[in-house]
Amino acid sequence: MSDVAEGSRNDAALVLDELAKCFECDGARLPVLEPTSIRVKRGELFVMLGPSGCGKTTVLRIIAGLEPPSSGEVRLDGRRVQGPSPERGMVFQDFTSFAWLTVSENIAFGLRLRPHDPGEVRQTVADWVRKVGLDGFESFYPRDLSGGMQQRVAIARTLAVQPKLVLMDEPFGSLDAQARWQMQEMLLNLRRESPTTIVFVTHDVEEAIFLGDRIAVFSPRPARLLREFSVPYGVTRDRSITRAAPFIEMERQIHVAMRGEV
Amino acid sequence: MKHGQRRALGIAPFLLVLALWCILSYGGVVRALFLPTPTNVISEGFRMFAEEGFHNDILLSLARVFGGFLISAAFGVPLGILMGASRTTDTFFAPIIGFIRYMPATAFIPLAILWFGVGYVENVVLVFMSIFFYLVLLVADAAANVKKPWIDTALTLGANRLQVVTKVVVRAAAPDVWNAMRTMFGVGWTMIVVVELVGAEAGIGAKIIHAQRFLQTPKIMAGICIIGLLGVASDLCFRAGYRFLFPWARN
Ligand SMILES: Nc1ncnc2c1ncn2[C@@H]1O[C@H](COP(=O)(O)OP(=O)(O)O)[C@@H](O)[C@H]1O
Ligand SMILES: [Mg+2]
Repeated sequence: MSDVAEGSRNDAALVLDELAKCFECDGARLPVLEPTSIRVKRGELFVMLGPSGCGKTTVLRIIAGLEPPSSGEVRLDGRRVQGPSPERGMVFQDFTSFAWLTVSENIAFGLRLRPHDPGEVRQTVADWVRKVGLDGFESFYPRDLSGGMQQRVAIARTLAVQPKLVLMDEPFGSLDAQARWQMQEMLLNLRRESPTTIVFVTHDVEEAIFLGDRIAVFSPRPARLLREFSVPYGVTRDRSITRAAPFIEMERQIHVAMRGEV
Repeated sequence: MKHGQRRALGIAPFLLVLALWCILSYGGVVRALFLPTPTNVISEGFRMFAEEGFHNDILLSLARVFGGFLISAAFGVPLGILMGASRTTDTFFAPIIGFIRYMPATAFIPLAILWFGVGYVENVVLVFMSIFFYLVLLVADAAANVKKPWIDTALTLGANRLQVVTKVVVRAAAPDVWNAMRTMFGVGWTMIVVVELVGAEAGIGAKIIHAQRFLQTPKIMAGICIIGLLGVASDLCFRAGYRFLFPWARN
């Protein structure tokens, strides 16, 4: 951390170095990830795209430090990942809002785990409530929120602790189409305000191109990196790009890359 | 089904039992010694309160149950949480607790009387024996079943192990723990009546066994009904407590 300037605290360079994973259960070996090397630049939104069950969640859990790799390692800013840490936030696929806490208390959860100034926490929480569009729902419990709102809470809760890296595991996967579009646009807006480094997992090709700066396409299990794509759009994107020729052409190429390996 | 209809459906069995009782007793099918009439039971019940200070027996029984229950909860809930949250603790305690649990607490009555003599300590120890071990296992189960993604989320937000337990496991398991306490309070209540039947100077169970010696069947039945009513009342209290403590929980 000492070699990183104060001003770039929110940026990170993530390296997966020959990372591989194989689950062992009841003597059987289940290879999930072939040795894979990936570099994610600071401020980049890196998409991992692959079919269901190929091992995407497992990779994110290894990066988060929730699961040990079988071989290889993960480095963030040159330091090896050895366990969970608030510098690597994660938004899970399931709705994980703490049921016993209100929206505000959920967002404050991470901030209150460390020494904190209550006034500052209140201010930060109020800012995030506004940024993710939950004004008026501050004192609601998760049971009274829609799935989309619960994911807004999860995103705000993760970003509020200012992680260097945010891991998102199909965060909009279980939302209906309209809510999914809204959430995608909200994520683009958040990135315009502050360009956090994000590893975003999805199996939706359109979502991958619409949100990503770079896309890594994985094979079915055991996951193997098939191809990487660079997305030619900046951080300001409009839904209309999804209907233009370059977008559709990239969609086609990704589909070819995915199909070519089955 | 409408709310009113549901309530009617729930009350119907009570009326059926009452009707059967009326036919058998007023109709003279069964002798009064074995089955007194409802009016007789009710009037005897009132007399027990008015002339024999039955409320003192009730308070005494309640004090015994609460003593054993509170001690069980004070030790059982933390131990259960610890077992649910830590593999090592669970490996250490689970076998012995699982073993003792299958020994009927009633079988300890002679031993408890031998060790502590008849009295409050003996009563509380026996209620404790009937509640503690099951409670620990129920709480451990509730703690172990806390959704894993909540724990992972807390870890990625910077929680250490202690914070995971205090800020996630305890909070998430609390409603199930409360329900376990509700169930075990009922068990303790049954236990104290048995303990009092076997050997106690006063208390609800003592009153019942005393009435049996003098063949005062109405008193026995009045005592049993009171036990049932108190059970229902305590259950309602626990339910109200649940709604008050856990407004966030789904039903
Ligand atoms: N803890 C585990 N133990 C054994 N197998 C697992 C474990 N977690 C995931 N798997 C298996 O690994 C494979 C990849 O799972 P996952 O990473 O969740 O895929 P994805 O997120 O791409 O759908 C699946 O076949 C799954 O059953
Ligand atoms: Mg997954």
